[in-house]
Amino acid sequence: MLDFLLIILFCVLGVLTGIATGILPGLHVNNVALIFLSLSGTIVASLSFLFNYGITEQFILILICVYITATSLSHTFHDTIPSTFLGAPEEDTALSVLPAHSLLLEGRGYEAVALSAVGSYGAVIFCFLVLYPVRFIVGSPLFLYSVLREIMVWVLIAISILLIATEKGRIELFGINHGKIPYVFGMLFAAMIFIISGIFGLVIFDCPVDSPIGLSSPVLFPALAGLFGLPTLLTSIMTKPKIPSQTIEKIKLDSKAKKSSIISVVTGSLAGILVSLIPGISSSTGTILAMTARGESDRKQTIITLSAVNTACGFFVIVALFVILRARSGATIAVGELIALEEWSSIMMPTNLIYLLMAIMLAGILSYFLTLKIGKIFAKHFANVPYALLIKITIAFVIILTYLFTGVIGILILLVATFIGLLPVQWDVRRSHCMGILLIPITLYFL
Amino acid sequence: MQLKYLSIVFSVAGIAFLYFLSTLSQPTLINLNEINKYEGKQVIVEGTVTESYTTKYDSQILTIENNNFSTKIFVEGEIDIDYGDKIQATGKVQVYKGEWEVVVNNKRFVRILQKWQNITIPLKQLAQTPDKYKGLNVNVTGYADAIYETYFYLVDPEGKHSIVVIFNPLYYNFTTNQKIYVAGKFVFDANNFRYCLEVGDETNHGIFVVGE
Repeated sequence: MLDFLLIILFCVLGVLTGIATGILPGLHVNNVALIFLSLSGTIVASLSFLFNYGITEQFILILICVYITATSLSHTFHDTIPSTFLGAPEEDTALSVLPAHSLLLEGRGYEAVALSAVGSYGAVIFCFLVLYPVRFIVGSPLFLYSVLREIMVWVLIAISILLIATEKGRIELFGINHGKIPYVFGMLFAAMIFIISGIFGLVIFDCPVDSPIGLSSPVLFPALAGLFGLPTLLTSIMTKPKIPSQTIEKIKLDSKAKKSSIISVVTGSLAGILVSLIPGISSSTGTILAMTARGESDRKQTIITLSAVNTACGFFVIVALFVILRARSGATIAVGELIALEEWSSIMMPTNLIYLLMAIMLAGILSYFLTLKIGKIFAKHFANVPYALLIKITIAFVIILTYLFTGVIGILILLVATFIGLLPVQWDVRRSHCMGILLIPITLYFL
Repeated sequence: MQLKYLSIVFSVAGIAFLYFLSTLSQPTLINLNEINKYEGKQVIVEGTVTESYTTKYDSQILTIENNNFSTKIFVEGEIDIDYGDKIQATGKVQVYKGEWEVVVNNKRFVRILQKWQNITIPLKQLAQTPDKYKGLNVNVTGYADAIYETYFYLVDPEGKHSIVVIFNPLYYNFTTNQKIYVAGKFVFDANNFRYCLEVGDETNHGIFVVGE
């Protein structure tokens, strides 16, 4: 009984941490996971009094994993709040900026948050329902992942082409502002950002980053914070949109919209599952795949789809850890290091996966209601929030974390990444092209 | 100049500068006993392969040994390697489940310095430092002596050292006092409390007559 209560407690703590990482732009769940990984020994020692109640050291490590998993899932629900109200999205929610912001400017910011919560919770339910079918398709007996690995290079190339070819941004150069030429310029610029990010990715992996206080030094941390975190924070400080007072109403969907929302959840979740299996692609790439597949461009459906992709990916990276034994996020790297990964190769699930699925399901329900609650609070009071100060503190926090984890070279990487990350923001093309940082090195690896 | 143009200039210049920095810091060749000083850093290690296995998802985990120290090498990808090969690997040092290992993210960063088939070891050397070669593939040259049904004695040219070679007589044809070259695995036979050479079914194992 005590073990069950502890799982609930750590899950709730994880959900609360996920609220913090979700709401504070620039603070990513992967950083929290890595910090907890390095502190795991201390946590086990400080909880050693539980040994007297029959709780083993292994179970305490499982509790840390429950906490990380709940944080990770809660983050995918709550990161929609800053992207709606603060206009400071993270990379995973970059595509929803425009739809959510446009609803905010109509005084319907809460509706955007509520739609996102529906998309995320819908994804949790859908993923739970398809858990076994996906397990049999990805693992034995159909071994889709093995097939995917064989053709991975082509899958990655196809995704890269799709990413660039679906760019709809217009860039007016040389005085040409009509016809299809501005769209072609937009696409070419997208390709340029993709390639620059890729070269940047190849270069930084040889850079000698080193933590001045002896922490592990993930070179991707300053790179991703620079590409996807700081540019929007800086832009948010520079732009001061006039936002009307917000109305708080329950979302109303007619039967057609309900049907469309179910399709959004299903396509979004399937794309999220794909993202959890393929290395180097992000949720925003998954959303492009889902939106291309369903051909829907309505802003409400875009928000639902993006949230479904984001949460489904958060759900299935945990499952994938036990089916394909591959870590596809910082959180799963931490989980994989902390507990034994028994492959899920039969009907019965590994016990550790059952614990983590319990955390996911509980975190999903809690996060759904908390997102609606916090979304309401933001809608009522966000005009009183010291917005500029909050963003400046966040920027300072990211810079300090970068220095502590990766030293002076890390700060240089953050600076260069920020300039690259400013390119799509300044030239008005999608920020997901910056995923070239992973896609190009990984494609070259598979070649 | 507008920020949108400045971003392009600084992005390209920044990448060039980082590239310059990366060329200044090439990984260094380290001894296996000092691996703990290099956590999180790129290093080059060298040693003889003493263990190797492939994971289900085609990654390979090797154990290399050098000067009585050993470490694990995790290689993303599968490489054609044999016990006893001398290799050089470039990768990042990390601790995994309490053990030091070097993570090589591409199999191209594992270089075979010398195949075990190209290294002939005198029997005297095997006799003096058997622990160094235990479990490895080795090549030994000597004279066949006292041939029995499934084993024979291999004696060095000086006649001072000898070793039992276990083999399958169906595959090999040689006579006593012929000079032969044996490629096999150097193992400890616990039942008879002795070291011996096992010539198995592996393609690179064998017994070849090189002279009378």
